[in-house]
Amino acid sequence: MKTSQILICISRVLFPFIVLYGFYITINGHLTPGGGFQGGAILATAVLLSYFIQPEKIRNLNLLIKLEKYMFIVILIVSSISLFTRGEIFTNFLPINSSINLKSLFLTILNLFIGIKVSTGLVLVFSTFIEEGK
Amino acid sequence: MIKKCMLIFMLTILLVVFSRTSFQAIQNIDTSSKDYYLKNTYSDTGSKNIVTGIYLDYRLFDSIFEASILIIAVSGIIFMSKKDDEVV
Amino acid sequence: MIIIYMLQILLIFLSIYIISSKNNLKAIIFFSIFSLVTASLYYFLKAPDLALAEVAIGSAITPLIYIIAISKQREFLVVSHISKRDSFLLNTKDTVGKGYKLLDDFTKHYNLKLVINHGKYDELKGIFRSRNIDLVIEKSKKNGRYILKGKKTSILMNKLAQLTITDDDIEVITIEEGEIYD
Repeated sequence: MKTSQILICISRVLFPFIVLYGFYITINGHLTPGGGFQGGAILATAVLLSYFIQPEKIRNLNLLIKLEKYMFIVILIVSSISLFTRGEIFTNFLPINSSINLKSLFLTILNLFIGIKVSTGLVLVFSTFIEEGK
Repeated sequence: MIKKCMLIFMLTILLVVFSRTSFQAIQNIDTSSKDYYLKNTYSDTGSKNIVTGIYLDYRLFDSIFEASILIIAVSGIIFMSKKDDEVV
Repeated sequence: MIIIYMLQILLIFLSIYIISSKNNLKAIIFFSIFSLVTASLYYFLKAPDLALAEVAIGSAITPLIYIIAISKQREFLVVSHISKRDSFLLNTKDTVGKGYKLLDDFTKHYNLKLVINHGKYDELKGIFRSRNIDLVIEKSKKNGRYILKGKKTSILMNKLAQLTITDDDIEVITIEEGEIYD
């Protein structure tokens, strides 16, 4: 299938802005609407646009599979640190009387990890579909 | 013809029941949990966005299993897309 | 407030159109529009988090997966058991084989995409299902005629048989569903 030249041009212009917007949504999840899942989905659409630019480029799928698995384990570990610091599992690992700015650090870290995990998962889904559809 | 009439009859009954219950539910809503979250989320979790505060702090147990759903779906899709000789 | 009611009524009409449309590609495009309208409805009902997720997933990633699935449906998969040096299926700059020309015209007429695979059909199996093969080409050892095998239920096979009825070199055989090609 031949991609139109106009679509490739517009995709090249739009690609960095979409990546920037995805990271903004992900990292600012505790201040503005959005969060890990939404930012990850937007990052996945950016990768989808890059398929229009270079359709023949083969990506290393095994690396993405490993990345997603390890991200899930990291999320589990980060969310269960609080068992040792606070005494209850699956909550913020910082002590309960620390300042509010420090507490939001936990939300930023977890949002970033969830964003990477969701974006790699969605990229894997449609890139396996594209490989199959060739 | 009878099948279509029965279907329309059932759908109208469903519509009437649903609209009645939804109008009744608006009148007496319990707002205690909403008030609690509006009051305490910022001081408890440090999140101005209450949705993220609930998603990543109060209900983190649920969101971890929501994340695991995606990994199961992806592994299923990759397993099905592989050819016979690639799967060991 | 009135714009919310307008969008809700628009959603009902869009969903009826999606169900009743005969063209697959049109249905997918309207599904994408449906997701966009839903996202704007989420925004007006004060759920911007959901609107962001709906725009990214519902109107970009899901239609892409559907489009790949329907583009798979318009393939005409041919497996050839004759040797690659045979001129029947050859397609180079200098010579275009007789069989290749026939199949190319045939698939272009029905708006399909011709895919020719040399070698064994065992390599085309997925893990849960064997790939749906439309046509198998063999060369008869007795009289040197080319044999085209296909499913009996396919309408395309009848047309192909009518097309090649005057040709002496080509023979079309239809096989009942469920039999194994060998």
